[in-house]
Amino acid sequence: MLHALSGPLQTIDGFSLILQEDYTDRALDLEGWQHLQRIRNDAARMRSMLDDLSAYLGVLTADLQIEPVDITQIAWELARRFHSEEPDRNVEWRIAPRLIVAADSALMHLALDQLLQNSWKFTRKTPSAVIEVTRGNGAELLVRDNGAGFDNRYTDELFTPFRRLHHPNEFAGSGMGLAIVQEVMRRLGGVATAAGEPQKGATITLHFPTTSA
Amino acid sequence: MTNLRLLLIEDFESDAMLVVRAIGKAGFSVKHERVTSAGALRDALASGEWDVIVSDFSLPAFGALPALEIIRESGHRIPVFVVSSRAGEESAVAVIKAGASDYLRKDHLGELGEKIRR
Repeated sequence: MLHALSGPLQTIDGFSLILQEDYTDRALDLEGWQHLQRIRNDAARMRSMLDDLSAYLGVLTADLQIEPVDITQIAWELARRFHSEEPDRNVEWRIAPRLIVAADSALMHLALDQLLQNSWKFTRKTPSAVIEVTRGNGAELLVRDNGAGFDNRYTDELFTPFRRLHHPNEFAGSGMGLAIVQEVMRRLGGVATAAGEPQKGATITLHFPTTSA
Repeated sequence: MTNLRLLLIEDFESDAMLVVRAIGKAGFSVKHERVTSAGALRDALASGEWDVIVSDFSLPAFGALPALEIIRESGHRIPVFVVSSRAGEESAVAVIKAGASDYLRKDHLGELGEKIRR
């Protein structure tokens, strides 16, 4: 997993070397300045990867406190936050009332934050965006959107740390979101699964151990 | 200077620039095109003539292994070099079995030009 971090590092090294080679005896011109910008972009990319890695490692070692967690309330809080950060966006939220699961509150916050951020991000180009948080069969929680979706051939890769299914200029992100969600579910004794269709949307299902929902 | 028509399979534009520069330093005059998906690779193979292909090992929803399969199916016999940010014995074996000429780490791009020359 850590090898992914060497991606931006090698880019930083590569463009630093270009600056050393090409600018020994002259001042920085526009091209040189653009190389510096590339170095800075990859430094920022690496910082965001490290932040996400740190959140992931935090899940591995978190002390669990299982109690009733109000998913409905957390989902609405997140929705309000997204809209206050990007007031121009128009998204219809369908969050079922009284979604209570027995889980760890901090971990559920983290997982829902990642899931709803994904839905928020991948519906950016959807004209009538809808994000749903509902109860599935039995002890399941569904987060569904009608955004960019993905090809079901890549379902396994979705949960792999730092693996991305979209190009960086299309949708930003370090590729850690669903790896974090999966780790949260594993800590809670459950599992997360995904289903999607390109340009139609994605559904992530959180399967809780049957005694907890 | 030898002219070289290079097809790049790489999602990061900055990494593509580093590859082009590394090959240029070995004395090639490089003309390149960059693709990031299976469909774009098929189009590029059908519409252009290429001396060499350099592919990143892993791209979003794509990668060197499916790329090698597409290249083989296209009937073209173009040398393919795979570059990756990781040193992976298994990945190296897998891509060479699938028909790649060589596998290099992205921090050893300096060797790429010489390998293409051979």
